[in-house]
Amino acid sequence: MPDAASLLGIAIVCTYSWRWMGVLIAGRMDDESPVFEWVTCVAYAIATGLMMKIILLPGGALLNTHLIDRLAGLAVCMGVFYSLGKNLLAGLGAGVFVFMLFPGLRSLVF
Amino acid sequence: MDFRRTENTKGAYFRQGMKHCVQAPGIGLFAAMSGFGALAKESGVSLLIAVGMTGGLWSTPGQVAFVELFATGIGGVALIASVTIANVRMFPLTIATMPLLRSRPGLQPVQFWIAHINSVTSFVQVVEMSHHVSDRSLRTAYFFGFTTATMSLGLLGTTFGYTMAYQLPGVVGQSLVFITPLYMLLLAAQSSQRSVQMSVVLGCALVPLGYLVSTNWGLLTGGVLAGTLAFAVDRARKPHA
Repeated sequence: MPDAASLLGIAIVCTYSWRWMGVLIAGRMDDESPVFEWVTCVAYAIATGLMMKIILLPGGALLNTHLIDRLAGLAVCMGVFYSLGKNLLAGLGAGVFVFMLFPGLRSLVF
Repeated sequence: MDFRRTENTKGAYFRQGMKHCVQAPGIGLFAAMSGFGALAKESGVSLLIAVGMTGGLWSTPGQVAFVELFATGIGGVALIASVTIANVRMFPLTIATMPLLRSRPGLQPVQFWIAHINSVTSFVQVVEMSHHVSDRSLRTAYFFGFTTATMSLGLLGTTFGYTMAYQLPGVVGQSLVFITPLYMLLLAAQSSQRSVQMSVVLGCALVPLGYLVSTNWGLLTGGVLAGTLAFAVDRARKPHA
C-alpha cells in the first residue's frame, strides 16, 4: 500500500474534482434533478453507514468498550435529540455523557 | 439568528458570519473534528496528514473513511474509491450553493475557492441567511466569515483530538472517538427529506453488513446499494415522478 501522504494527495484531487465539476455545472443544471437526489441518497447512506459501522464494529480505542454501552449512548443521544425538537448539541452531549456513565451504572446494577 | 446588519459593509457581514459560526454549529464541528483527530491518531497517520485531511478534503465522511480504511491496511485503490464516493455529496452541494452567492452570471475564479471551503454545515447556514440578506456581495462576505471560522475550528479540533487522544484517561479518551459518529448521525437525522431518511436507515443496516462480507469494498458496495434502493423506493412511492 502506498504511503499516507501520496494517498492523501490523490484523495484531495479526487474530492476536489466533485467541487470543481459542481462549479462548472452550477446554473446549467437544475439542482433538483433526480440524478442529484440519487447522489444525495448514496452520500447519506455511505456517511451514516460508516458511522454506524464505527459504533457496531469499532477498531482502536472503542474496541475495549462494550457494545451495550455504545448502543445506550446512541439511544439516549437520539431520544434527547428528537424530544427536544432536533437539538443537535443536546443530543450529542447526552449521548456522550451516557456512554461515559453507562459502564459504571452497569457494574452497580449487575 | 440576527442576520441583517445596520452597517451594510462586507466587513460587518464577514464578522457576523464568524460570530454565527462560533455558536452551536462551531461547537458541534469542533467536537466532531476532535473525534476525527483521535480516530486519525489511532489509524497511525501523522498529525500533519490528519490536519492535511481536514484542510484538503474538508468533508467528514471521506476523512473518516480514509482513516478507517487506512488502519485496516487495505489496498490504495479501494481506499481512494471509497473516499471519493463518500465525498460525492460535495457535487450537488456545490451546485446548490453557487446560485445563492453568485453576483453575476458566468464563472468567477473565487467560486473555485468557495467550493472548497463550503460544507454541509455552511450550506445550511447560507440557505437560512439568504432568506434575510438579498445583496449577493454581502451574502458572500457572510459566507467567507462563517467558513473561515468553521475551517479554523475544524483544524484546531483535529489538532486537539489528535494530541489529546492518548493523554486523556480511559473512558474520556474513548468518548472523544465516540463523538464523531454520533454527530454525523444527528446531522443526517436533521434532514426532513424522506428519501434521505430512508437512505440513512438502509445505510446503517447495509454498510456494517457489507463490512462483514468485505473490509475493502463493504463501505462502497453497501452504501451505493442502500442509497440506490432508498432512491428507487422513494421514486416508486411518489405519485407522479
